[in-house]
Amino acid sequence: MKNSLHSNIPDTPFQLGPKSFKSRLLLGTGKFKSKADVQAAINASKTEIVTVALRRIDIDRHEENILEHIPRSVTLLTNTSGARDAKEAIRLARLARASGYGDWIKIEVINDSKYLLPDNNETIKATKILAEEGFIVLPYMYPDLYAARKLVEVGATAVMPLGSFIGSNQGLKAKEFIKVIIQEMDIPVIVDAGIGSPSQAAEAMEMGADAILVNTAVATAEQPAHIAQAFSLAVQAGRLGFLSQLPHKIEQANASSPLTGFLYENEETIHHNSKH
Amino acid sequence: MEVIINGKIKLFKGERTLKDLLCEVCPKNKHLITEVNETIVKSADWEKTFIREGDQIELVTFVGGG
Repeated sequence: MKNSLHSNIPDTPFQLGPKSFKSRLLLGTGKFKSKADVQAAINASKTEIVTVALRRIDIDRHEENILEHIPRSVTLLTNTSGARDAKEAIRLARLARASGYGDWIKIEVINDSKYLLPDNNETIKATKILAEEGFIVLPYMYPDLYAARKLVEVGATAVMPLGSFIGSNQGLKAKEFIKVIIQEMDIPVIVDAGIGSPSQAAEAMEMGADAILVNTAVATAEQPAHIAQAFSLAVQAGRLGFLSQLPHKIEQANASSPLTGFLYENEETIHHNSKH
Repeated sequence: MEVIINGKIKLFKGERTLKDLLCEVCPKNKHLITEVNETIVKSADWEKTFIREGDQIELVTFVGGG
């Protein structure tokens, strides 16, 4: 699909494992009011990677499958949500692969029902085994540098540190720690969880994140397709800001226009007037 | 024959392959993944897999998720 904005950005493609992508926005498909909204949001976001989950079917009730609403052209990234330890995450990953929809797995191991924070230790264990089995493993993690390093060591394709509590729309509460991970990692860093508005996505991209994953903010908006497009633009704007090497912050004012007087060039009009 | 499908007890009469059983319980779902007694059975093997008394069958599929 031709996208004029993408092609105007002097950027390298987003390389993730064996594939390269134009879009740096990953979209989750949970919590949407309707499956038609999912499809509209995918199209509007121009995302090329979409996350899904696995669940037991209800054999007494037929529901339309989410895959019927996801274009074949996007890469399917199955998460291991529901897994409470490495063993369950591995089981879910193998089930996902058996479906024939590829071997891209977002490891998500959560055993705390209040804060839903990912368990980094179990995530490392699952990542190691699944990477050895040839999966493309993208672990969702608590932004801890040591854990991130360990994940790289055991074969993660990228790391996905959380911005804030999952589904909270609180933005980059973990900003300083994500910055450290971005600076120290040689593999892609995808900020996942808590990104609640396009400006927060742009901020993460300006910091140097390689990509962003959003779900709740899009799925629960009144107009999912519109906000999906806004996120797409914000991610591109933030990326371009990062690539342009943003100037440093300065404590004092620094005029953008010449500071000489309007008509009397040699009198420092503004300077004198400002002193009362 | 009594089997457990996704935690629910179901009764069937006569011999059945996994494929027959899937046609009966969820004919419309095209994206099923199956486990029989905690072992994944790929769709290519559904026809060769006979269901036995007491089998624990898990049927999973893709749903929305982040």
